[in-house]
Amino acid sequence: MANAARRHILEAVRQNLPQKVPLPNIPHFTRTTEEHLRARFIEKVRKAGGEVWETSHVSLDAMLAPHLPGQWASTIPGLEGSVQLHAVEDPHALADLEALVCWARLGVAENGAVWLDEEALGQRAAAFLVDHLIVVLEASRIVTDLHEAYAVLASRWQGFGLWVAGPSKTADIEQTLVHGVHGPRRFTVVLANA
Amino acid sequence: MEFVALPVIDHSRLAERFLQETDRASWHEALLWQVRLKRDCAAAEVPEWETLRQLASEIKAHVLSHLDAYLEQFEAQARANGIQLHWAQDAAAHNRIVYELLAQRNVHHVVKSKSMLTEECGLNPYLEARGIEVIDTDLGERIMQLLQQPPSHIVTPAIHLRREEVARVFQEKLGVPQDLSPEELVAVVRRLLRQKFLEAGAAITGVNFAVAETGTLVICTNEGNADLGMHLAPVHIAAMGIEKLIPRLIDLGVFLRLLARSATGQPITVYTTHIGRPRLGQELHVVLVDNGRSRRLGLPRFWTALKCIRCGACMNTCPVYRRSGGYSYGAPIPGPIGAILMPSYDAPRYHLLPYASSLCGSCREVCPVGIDIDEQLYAWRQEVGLQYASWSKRQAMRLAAWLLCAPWRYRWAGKLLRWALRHLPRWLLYGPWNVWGQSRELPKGPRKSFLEGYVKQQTGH
Repeated sequence: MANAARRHILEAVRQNLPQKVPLPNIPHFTRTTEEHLRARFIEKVRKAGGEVWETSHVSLDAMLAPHLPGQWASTIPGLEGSVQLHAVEDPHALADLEALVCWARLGVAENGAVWLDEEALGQRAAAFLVDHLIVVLEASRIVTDLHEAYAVLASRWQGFGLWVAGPSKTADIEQTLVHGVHGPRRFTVVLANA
Repeated sequence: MEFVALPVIDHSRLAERFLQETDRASWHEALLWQVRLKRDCAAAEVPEWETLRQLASEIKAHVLSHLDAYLEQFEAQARANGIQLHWAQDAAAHNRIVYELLAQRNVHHVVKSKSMLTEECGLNPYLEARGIEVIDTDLGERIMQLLQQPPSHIVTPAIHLRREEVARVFQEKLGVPQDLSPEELVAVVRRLLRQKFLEAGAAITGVNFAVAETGTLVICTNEGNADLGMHLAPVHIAAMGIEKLIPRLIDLGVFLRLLARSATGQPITVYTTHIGRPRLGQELHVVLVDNGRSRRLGLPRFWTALKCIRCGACMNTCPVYRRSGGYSYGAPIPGPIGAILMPSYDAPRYHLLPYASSLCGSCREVCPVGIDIDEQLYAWRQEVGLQYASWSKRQAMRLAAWLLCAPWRYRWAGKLLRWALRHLPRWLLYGPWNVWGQSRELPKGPRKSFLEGYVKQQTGH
């Protein structure tokens, strides 16, 4: 029965296929110059409602300390949160988590998005349950656009990941912008100069 | 403003209802125009915008012309990653599959993020009738769910409501104080729905793109509602039309650069989640739905409408949509794209939609995947016109053809008409047959036609 549906659909598709069209090549578009990447990225994160803090690695702990609430977790080695994500099996246990600090693998200058993968998140739901999502990005990991980003990601695809660009938002009531509808109310990118 | 279900969707009649509230109609038009302008600014920031549109159109054409192979590739990859696939030939099969998945696992509470496909299939009422609580979690959709009304726009479901009306709904249905601001209303929804997310036995989402080479689902939201649902619930069911496939991960670069800019003017949605495997201990089911798509693939004039990525740009720009509202289309997908999609699903019901257009072509200009919407609107009129036009319309068209086929008949008719405009009494000129004159003044009949005037000017007599 289930297989019959599959067969019927594939058969109907085959019978109705339009004339074959080749897959186009995606050309290389102009890259943003090195010195503009950082400025463009910062501008786009802020425009999306996010904050950008700049720091060097050594001072990460000291910089974050005053901003961290009681219940926070970290997936950055050497930065210990008050909640241990790897000890949690069921994400429901994280309902009261207030902040998450994690690595971003990539940043995109054209849209201010950062790439978070499963390892960086610890728990997929953590990035959405918290009030404040803090991602640490090495400034050298900023690329021009999504084409450049996917060239990197596709070369070692890991099966799960997401772009985050700003805090959770909605404009569903008369196009009025409101932050923090379901996910984090605050989104911060810590730009680290490696 | 309420949704009215009619056996035959009479767009002009429904538009007339919408236009009776003049203030709302002007407000609605201006609000949507703002969204269109935001799209223009976002598009102008990308120097290669037109190249991207061309690429997106070609990639979709390629996928659709090799759809069987890509479906099989996607299926094999997704399966290898632990995703369970189900095939549904029509809406009924889709609903049954989803219900059985839930019933077998004894799930009674479901959170759902926006999916036009489940809207098309009527999933919510189907599940509710079987005792399953379905909570729409997108704010706009939740507002419409509280009102027991369908969405009026595919991206911003409650765009036809003013903030006071939304506040009133919340007061009546949720018992919160009157006159809350949008910020306060959002805080109420956040608190109530967070509980629902934590309690849900399953999450239902749509799919924006499905990558064949890796078996990956891509789901875009601004609110984070799809993510909260699917990353918490023990079961995730994703419903996707078979046309959602793209070949490679790198193709996402093209489509994601276009999607949010076209939809809302954002450079990318806040969350763009790529799911290639369920999380540890979770079940992930994908329901692949045909529901008329394979048939459309075989319509030479109309198959390219399957390229649509549901951005809503054609609605925001359409002078008819902006001044008639989403409900005037009486369809899960309204606006110009709805007007070319719906007739192939149900021609008797939707045959009037292709006429809900001035054929200005603005939709085609903004469409990120370059669908020739205006041409297809015109082509649908040729398809459905002969079959469904009323007797009087047919006679009028026959008369017009007869008049226009011979220059002397045309000139003679013009002369007669100009005379009639000057001499006939108003009650006769503005009778019920004069649809044009119902809200407009007819011109004063000049003594000479343009041609007569031109000839006189050129020859001096």
